[in-house]
Amino acid sequence: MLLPHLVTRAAQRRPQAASVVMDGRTLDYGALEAASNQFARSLVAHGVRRGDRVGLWLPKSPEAIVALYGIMKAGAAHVPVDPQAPPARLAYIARDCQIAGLVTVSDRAAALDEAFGTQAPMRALWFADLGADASAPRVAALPGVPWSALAGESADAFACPSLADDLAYILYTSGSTGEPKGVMVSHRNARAFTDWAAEQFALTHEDRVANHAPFHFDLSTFDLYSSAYAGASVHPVSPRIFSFPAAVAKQWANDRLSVWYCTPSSLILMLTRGGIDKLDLSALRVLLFAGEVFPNKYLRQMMALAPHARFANLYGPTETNVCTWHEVSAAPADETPLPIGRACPYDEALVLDEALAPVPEGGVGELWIRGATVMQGYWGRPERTALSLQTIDVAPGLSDRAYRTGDLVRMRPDGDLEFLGRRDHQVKTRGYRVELGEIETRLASHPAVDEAVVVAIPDDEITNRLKAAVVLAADGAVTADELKQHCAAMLPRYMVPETIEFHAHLPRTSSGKVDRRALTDA
Amino acid sequence: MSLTATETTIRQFLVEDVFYDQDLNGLGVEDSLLAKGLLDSLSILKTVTFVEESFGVTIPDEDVLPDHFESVRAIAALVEKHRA
Repeated sequence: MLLPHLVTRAAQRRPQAASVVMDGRTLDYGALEAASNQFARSLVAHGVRRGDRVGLWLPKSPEAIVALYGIMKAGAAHVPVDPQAPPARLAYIARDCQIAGLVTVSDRAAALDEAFGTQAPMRALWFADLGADASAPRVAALPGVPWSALAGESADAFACPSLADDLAYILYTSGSTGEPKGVMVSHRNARAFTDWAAEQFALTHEDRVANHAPFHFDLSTFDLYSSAYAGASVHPVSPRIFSFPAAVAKQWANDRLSVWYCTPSSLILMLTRGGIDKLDLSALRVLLFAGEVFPNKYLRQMMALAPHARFANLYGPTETNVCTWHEVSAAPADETPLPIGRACPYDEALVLDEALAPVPEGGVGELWIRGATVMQGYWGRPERTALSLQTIDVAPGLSDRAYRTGDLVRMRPDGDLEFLGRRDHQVKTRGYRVELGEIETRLASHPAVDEAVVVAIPDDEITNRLKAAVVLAADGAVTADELKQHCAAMLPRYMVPETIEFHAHLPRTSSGKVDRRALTDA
Repeated sequence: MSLTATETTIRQFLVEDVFYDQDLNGLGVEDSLLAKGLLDSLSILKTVTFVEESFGVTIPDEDVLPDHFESVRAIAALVEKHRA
């Protein structure tokens, strides 16, 4: 069974049960199944074939979810692009993986036209917001399909041509050398986690599951596919309220959601600025968090608000999705960092030294992951893939392909893994994964800039804030605001440094490297 | 359209310090900031801090809601409400 078949099965069991509830609209499983069949047929009619990629660049909506399942039914991989990403970044991703089609909304047509010119890789565009009487805008002279045209396609069961090892989706993450890279995930990879999570957290058709994470963020795979596995309803946060903690908290309480999965940053903002302590959380049954360290003081506050609920810390980079987990059975009594726990049953966690030998118990090593959720590689980057996915000895006489996480961990005497930090310059801000090198590359691409270093300043609420230190070229003249604009033209908003400082020289360590510690502490 | 002093200050702050986008120099005070997806959570925190410091008001968390950040005009109305 592939990911879209989870919807088919739920629709057969309970066609009238709610599948997507958003902005006062409810789509039942029967309607989601029918509409995604129609969308798959529309894609095929415009030349989309098994193994193709189809992009999504639109605000979250029930139509976006129909499209995502329809793309997979057609045998293609969906490529959800940050809806807030600048058009230039979308164009980069679209060309990098040569998307065959793009699902968007009509008020983005002008931006698309500008981003692609006559060089669009797509064969057609689908406009998720256009009714019957609207004519689709022209983008790069491509056919545009209004949503209402799907009504002309058959809603009957559609035979998905994919196999379990075919790609289900590609998620682009920040790349240290300046360009985003596409993490390729198969149906089998995705289901290893989402099936397990649905069983482990005992999801049923009565659950009301929040969807907070954007679709380009792998936390959303639990919301969508674990819910579909159980026939539960998924409740996406409306884009209008997403950035307002008080509004999100109120919606979660009012909708009596039973399962939430989001980043600690989002929960912390609801605690510190969202008034969540005044709300009725009695419906909450399971609260999952991932993406960054949840400070114990906030975790204790959250657990006190929902003492009846299960809490679990999930861990895993996009390349493995969730690979370890730790159930928090009691609120932490002290400030000992919460462990990332043990490997999920479908994966194995290896703590290795530089020579790829197991680290003795209690020692610090790098975490490698092997097993069912390990990605297929980075799209179009065999050299980069070969660095991250290596065939290593996992037991005497036994080797397997494993993913090198770059995370430093220690195994505690009780067998739980503790996250200690990174061995490179990847950081988290508000749960988003950011390669500082990608921002540095963008800053250095400005003609007035000679050298740029970006550091992460630890922050209690959002994990890290970004600060850039820039040395101008001899005749360079540019303001901090202009450099921020230069970054925002290519990078997502959360990657634009909040502060840009100008230096005559960057501080150096005795070995001549830039002294990042000095810049961080300054 | 005439702008109040509060609207002018807020508009200038948003265009110069939040959006990082020269295309928004023509932003109108009633243009929807939310429909365009211009505000993320960090932008909102920055904006709240800015108006609190600039106008000497305190914006309670329960007032940081989409309706009060719909447009420059809505943010200015929120400031005026708390000045009173």
